[in-house]
Order: sequence, then C-alpha cells, then structure tokens
Amino acid sequence: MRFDEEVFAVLLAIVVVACIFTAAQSIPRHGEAFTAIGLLNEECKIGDYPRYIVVGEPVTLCIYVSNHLGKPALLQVRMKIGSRGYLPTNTTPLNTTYVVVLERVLDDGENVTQKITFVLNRTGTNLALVFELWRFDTSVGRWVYDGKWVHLYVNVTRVVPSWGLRRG
Amino acid sequence: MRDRSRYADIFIKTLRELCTAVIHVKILKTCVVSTLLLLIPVALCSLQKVWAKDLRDELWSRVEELFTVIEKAGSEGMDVKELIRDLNKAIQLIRRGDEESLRRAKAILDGLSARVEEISRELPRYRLVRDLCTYSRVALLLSIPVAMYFLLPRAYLRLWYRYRRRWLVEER
Repeated sequence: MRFDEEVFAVLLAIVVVACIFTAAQSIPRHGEAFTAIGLLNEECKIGDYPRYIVVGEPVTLCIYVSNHLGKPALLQVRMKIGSRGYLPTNTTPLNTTYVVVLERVLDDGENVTQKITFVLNRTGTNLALVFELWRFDTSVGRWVYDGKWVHLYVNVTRVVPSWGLRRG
Repeated sequence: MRDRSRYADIFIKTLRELCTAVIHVKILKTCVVSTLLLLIPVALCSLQKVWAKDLRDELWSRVEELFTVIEKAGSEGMDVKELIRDLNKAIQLIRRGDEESLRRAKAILDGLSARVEEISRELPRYRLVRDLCTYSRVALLLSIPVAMYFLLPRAYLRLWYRYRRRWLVEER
C-alpha cells in the first residue's frame, strides 16, 4: 500500500485537534468564582419552615454554605432581625447588630450544613430572620459583606398564661 | 477641791472621747476590710473576664493571620485540608469562650503556626515544580503533531520495507 498524502493529512489534522484540546484542558484555570448560602429547616431539608415562633423558646434551623472561590475561604453567617421591607441588598447588609454568628473555613469546592439555634426576645408580625454571608477579605484584613443572604418571615408571639378562671 | 473635780471631769471626758475615737477607727477598719473582701472577688472576676476577652481577641487575630497564609497556599493548589480542619476546631473552641476552650484553642493554633510556617517556606518551590510540570506537559502535547509530521512518513516507510524484506522482484 502506498503512503497516501490525503490519509496522512487527515491523520495529522485529527492529531493536531486532539493535542490542542488536551493541552488546553491541562492548563489549570478557575471557573466563575462564587459562594452560596441556603436556609434549611430543623431537619436540614428544604421546606416545612417554622411560621410561628414563641418568645424565649429556642428555634433551630440549618444553614448551608458553599465555597467555589477557587481558594479556601473564611466565611461567617450573621443572623439579624429585619422585617418586610427592611432586608439587605446585594451591596449593603442590614444595619443592625447580629443575634447569632457562626464562622467556618471552607476549602475550594467544599460545603457545610450546620444547625443554628437561637432565641428571640421580641414579638412581631412578619419579622424577617435574615442570614447574611460575610467573608474575611485577606487583602484588606477585615470582614466584608459577600452580597448574599437568605431570609425567613415569621410571626413571633408571646404565650399568655391562662389562670383557669371558672364561672359560678 | 473644785479644781480637782474639774480636772477629773476633763480627764473622764477626754478618756471617753478617746474611747469613742478608738471604737470609730475600729468600725472604720472593719468597714474597709469588709469592703476590700467584697471587692477582691469582684475585681478578680472582672480581671478574668478582661483576660478572657483579651485572649479571645488575640486568638482571633492569630486565626486571621494563619488563614491568610492558608488561603495563599490553597489558591496555589497546595493541599491544605488538614490545616483547614484544625483551624475550624480552633474557631469552634474560641467561640465557646470559656477558659479551658481558649487554652485548647491556643494549643491548636500554636501547632498550626509551625505547620503553616513550613508550608509558607515550601510554597515557592511547590509553585516552581507545579509550573514546570504544567508547561512541560503542554509543550509535550503540542510537539506531538510536529513530531508526527516529520516522523510518521519515515516510520511508515521503514515498516513497509521491513514487512516486504523477503519479497522478490520478478521481471515480466
């Protein structure tokens, strides 16, 4: 069989394409860098969130946090109390002090689901339990708001003791 | 007689005042001592709280320092899983805030400091080796088509001749 130039050209083209593709794949690169936060119920599942909360009674929820920044991240979740119409935005957090805070270092691609228990000491209708995601920025050496938050509207009530009054 | 009785009165009066003063001083001393006894435990408690807060702040700043190095090493591709696990342990202990937890957190951070320092020293060498490996792999892959262009026809011909080595050419 004679060495056909056309066959050689086709083979060469296939090899060129395959090699360039493999070389491009072997160069390390990071995709879009992002973090994520999610709110889960007491059993760490989506849905069936508490709607009514009693003042002074402990409430447990689950927080899911994920890191895809391409590097380890020191993340902090700050729980604050907001209301309907008073929520954080992508750029500004709530201007109130936090009720609960939890920190965690996550490696790139790692996520964590952690229970968070807190007690509310004020009543209100449509109060927003806001969970903001903060990140320790090593370039400035302080905590910065990551622009992500989740919230849950609840009605917080107080239990009034009944004295058992009877007629007659 | 009258003078003598007057002197006696003065003497008795002075003695009485002296006794009252002594009693007052005693009462004052008792008051001071009891106040001090009350104040010492309060002061000790406050001191302990201040100490714990200072230690907590100090440990937090150490956590931040260590994390800065770990983040740098992790972003370069070094395996920092163990360090992250220990740092998370220390953070949890610091959050608990009691004396024992703070001591344990300090011990963990002391151990981490040495390992982080080692990683920090190794980082330039790791980066060099990683870059060399990556670029060598890319260069090798890109040289395959060039090598194939020059070598494949020759290799094919060599094989072709070898396969037909014992063939005889016949004249028709």
